[in-house]
Amino acid sequence: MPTPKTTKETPDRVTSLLHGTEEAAFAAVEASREGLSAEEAARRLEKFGPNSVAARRANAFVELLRKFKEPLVIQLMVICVLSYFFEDNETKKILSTSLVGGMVFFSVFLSYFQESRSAQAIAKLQAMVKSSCLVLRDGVETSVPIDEIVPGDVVVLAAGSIIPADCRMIQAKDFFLSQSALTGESMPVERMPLPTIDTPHSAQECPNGCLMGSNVQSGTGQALVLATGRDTQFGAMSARMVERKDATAFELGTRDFVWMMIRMMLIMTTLTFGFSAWRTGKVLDAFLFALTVAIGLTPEMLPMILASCLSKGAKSLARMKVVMKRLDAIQNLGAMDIFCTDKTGTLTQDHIVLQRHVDVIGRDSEDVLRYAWMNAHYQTGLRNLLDRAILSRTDLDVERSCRKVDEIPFDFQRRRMSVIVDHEGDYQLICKGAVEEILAVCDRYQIDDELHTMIPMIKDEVLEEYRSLSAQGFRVIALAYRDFDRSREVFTAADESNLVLLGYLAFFDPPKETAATALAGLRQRGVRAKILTGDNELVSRKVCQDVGMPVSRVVTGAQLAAMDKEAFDRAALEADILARLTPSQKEQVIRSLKAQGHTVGFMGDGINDVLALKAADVGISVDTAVDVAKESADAVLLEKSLLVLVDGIDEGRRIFCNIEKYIRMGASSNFGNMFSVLGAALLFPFQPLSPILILVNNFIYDFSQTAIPFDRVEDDQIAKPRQWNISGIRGFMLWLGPVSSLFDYLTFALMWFFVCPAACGGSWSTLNTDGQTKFIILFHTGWFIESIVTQTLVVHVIRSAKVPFFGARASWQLSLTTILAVSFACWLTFSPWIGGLGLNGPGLGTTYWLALTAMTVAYVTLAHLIARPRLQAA
Amino acid sequence: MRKLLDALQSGRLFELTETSKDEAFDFLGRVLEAIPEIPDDSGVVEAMRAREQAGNTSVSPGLACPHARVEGITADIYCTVGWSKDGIDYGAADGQKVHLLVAYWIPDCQRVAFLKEMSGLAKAVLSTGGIEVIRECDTLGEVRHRLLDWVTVALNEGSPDVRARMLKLSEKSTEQSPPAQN
Repeated sequence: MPTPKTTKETPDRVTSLLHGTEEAAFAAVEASREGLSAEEAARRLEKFGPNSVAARRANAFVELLRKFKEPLVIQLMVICVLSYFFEDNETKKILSTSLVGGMVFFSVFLSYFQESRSAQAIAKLQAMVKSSCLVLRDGVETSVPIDEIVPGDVVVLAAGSIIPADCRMIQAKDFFLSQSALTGESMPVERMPLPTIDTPHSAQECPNGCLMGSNVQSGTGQALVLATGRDTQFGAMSARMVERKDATAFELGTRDFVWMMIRMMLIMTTLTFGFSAWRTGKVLDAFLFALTVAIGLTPEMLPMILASCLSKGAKSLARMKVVMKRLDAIQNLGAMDIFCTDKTGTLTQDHIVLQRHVDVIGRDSEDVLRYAWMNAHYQTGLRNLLDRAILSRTDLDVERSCRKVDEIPFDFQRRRMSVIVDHEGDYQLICKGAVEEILAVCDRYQIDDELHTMIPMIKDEVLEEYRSLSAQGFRVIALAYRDFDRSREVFTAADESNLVLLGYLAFFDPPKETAATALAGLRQRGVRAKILTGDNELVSRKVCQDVGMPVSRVVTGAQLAAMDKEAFDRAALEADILARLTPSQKEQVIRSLKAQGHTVGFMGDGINDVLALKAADVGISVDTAVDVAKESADAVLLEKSLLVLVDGIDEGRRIFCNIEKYIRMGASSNFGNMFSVLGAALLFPFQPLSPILILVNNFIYDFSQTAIPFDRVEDDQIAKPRQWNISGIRGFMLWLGPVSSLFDYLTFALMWFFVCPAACGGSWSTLNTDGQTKFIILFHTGWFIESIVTQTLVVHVIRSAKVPFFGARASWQLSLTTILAVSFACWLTFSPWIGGLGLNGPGLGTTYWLALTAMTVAYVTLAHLIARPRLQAA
Repeated sequence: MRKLLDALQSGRLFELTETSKDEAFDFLGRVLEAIPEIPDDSGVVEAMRAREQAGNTSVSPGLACPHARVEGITADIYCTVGWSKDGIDYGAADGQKVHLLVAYWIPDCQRVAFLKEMSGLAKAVLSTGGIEVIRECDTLGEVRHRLLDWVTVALNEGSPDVRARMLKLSEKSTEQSPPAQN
């Protein structure tokens, strides 16, 4: 199977070929109205490649390898390998290597699993454009597989056909095209052959263009293929699909945090190694000790805590019928401060309803509804969305007294259609269509049951109602009628003259019932909503008005296109409605908002939303979306209610609050401990804690944190968007770390000057080797317990700005793991089976325990006083 | 046409010495503002100009109906008539000078009445030979007579043109009345 080729036939060229003359278009693709010969088509297939969109099969192994480039993974792998080669104690080697290796494995495979979705999205894109199509080959209509269509082919289209390539209409009759999947516009658009187009349009807006990915709603036609495969607009979009989703705010925040810890680790490890080697004179021991310090500074539980928090959140959201396709998007949901949405199908119900039927001065009129219903009921062409909307409003009893006489079908020159009805001996022609076209054939108008002469000035007056309805965001068509003598047998388009203008029909895609409440909920939570739509600004304004969304500025895609970067960024930020956007512009707006420091969510449901869904920090789709949009989204709402979005935001914030607890603990406690280790390495002629005790300490500490995902979150903590704040974390680290370290140094003093000399029978310098060994073991034990107690208790301090234990209590799970961790650490020092670790709890004495209790109370109090203002500001 | 008749009976027919459209608007607007029933500071001239910008208000060759629409006021329609012997360059689509300006002040609730008035006027002008009869007048009195002729024609011939005979259909009854339950 040959691969699709990209040629010079870019989408821009398609646009220019749609604007130029028809002859120029035929010349550009070297074709004629009779189509291509089979030989020429085969030659072009070889030249241009198959007509299929971009398909890059993701290489699973390469994708997996790419995960090993993550800095945290590299750091852990280096430590793992060094521990294995330099540790001479087999037990310690296996223990440390297994622990670190397990973390690497977990981190790599979790993220790999999440990214396997891109290939699935491509497959969905491909599935949308398969099957066959009628083309003229050697002048004869021939069915060929769509992927064998080549530039220059003339395709034969009818209702239900999908457009197989980017084409230019060369013949059309009653031809309506649905581009909803491409543009988000739910209303079918008219397409017709035009000699040239003078006003610049995008390819999607060209009235003679029909693009791959759209489909024919009604009518028949022929179109010249201008571009195929990846050269089409759809193909270009598809090519963008294979690109990885941008790093989200959560990923960037995690990355920043990890790099901060790595930088800290490198400095601390180097200093520890230097001081330890200098003080003890044992280089290898100092190296292993420094490696262990590195592990102590590594937030090795971060992947597990993240996965655990996010999984818990995903389960909660699943109960609300929200499918989280990418776990870390849950946090982004909570961090989101700007929510962008394409209105069609997300805020609105994506079905057209007849909202108003009014007379020429805007009063509700049952006559208008009744006449519109008869027109829609009796017409035999393909019923479009408007006809269906009219028919669903009422059901008249026509069988007994009415008979259809004739029909004048719709065409694009007249842009109106009529039926002729025989009702109790009278013929009436009922005509509906584009307002300008109907007015052009009316010489009277009706008010109440009176007919009056239509003069030009009155046309202006009655058009005012049409303008008013349009300005309110309605799609408006006009309705007119005329009486005929029963002697008439045949009716033609010429009979659509001297009509009586009866009134207007206003259609609208109504908002979802829950949209207003959901948007109000977003506002209460500090999330600003924006509409990013391909639809026009008037309709968008109407939707905003209906859902109670304030609108201070509206910007169109054309205006954005004319702006420099600075103005674009400002417009993207200030505007509440960004209308008539191309898919690329939606993406650009999202990127601009992200670059300005915002966490951006985007909700969309069409192919035209795919790029924006991928660019957003959190892409959200709905159950009714096209498959490719759902595949590209991070979250899919299965319920029609948008209120789950608000619940999802709360859940995301709760989860991030708990993740922050780990981050704050990791940053401040680890930093404090290692700051203490560094000082101890300089102050004491021995290592303040053996490498294996540091690992065990880490293990117990990590265990105490496993309940963090189950912890409670205070309501005030989820009242506003919660985003990564590296400077805040650094502040925590620089303030709480030294406080933790202060109490470590107090413990060192307690052990060095009081507890150890009292238990060993003298100060360090007066002791022999055995005495010094006992001194070291007791010193290790004292600091080991103090370190565990302060590290595990601090989570209760930093979990809320309220007074720990009294003002805000942790969940029972977190309280239990804290108690278990402290108890286990104390038990460990007394256990006869764990003597190999070098601990001696019984030797500590009462002084130590009393001092430890006092220090712990003092530490928690001081830590709370320092943490509180920072937590309140967060 | 009754509003035109009211204007004639109330003496609101003037010869326009002004030669420009703007000056004519100023004059007729001030006359309308002087009617006691029209609120002070109602911005008649500005509203007339705004309407004119949206679309030229010439009705037929030589005749124009500049008007000011106001919202939120419940009142009757008032009009005043200006006659220009030499004609005013009105920017009409047919390029002809306008000799007769019938200026209206229309509360929004009177839109229907205004449309009917306009249609009646247009019909009367068409059925009496157009603006020529006014163009041939030399005095304001003659103009007044011709305008009264128009009113008479309109009232005699009747407006509307005809009564509509609409198809009347009832909705299908979709369900039978449920049986009474014991």
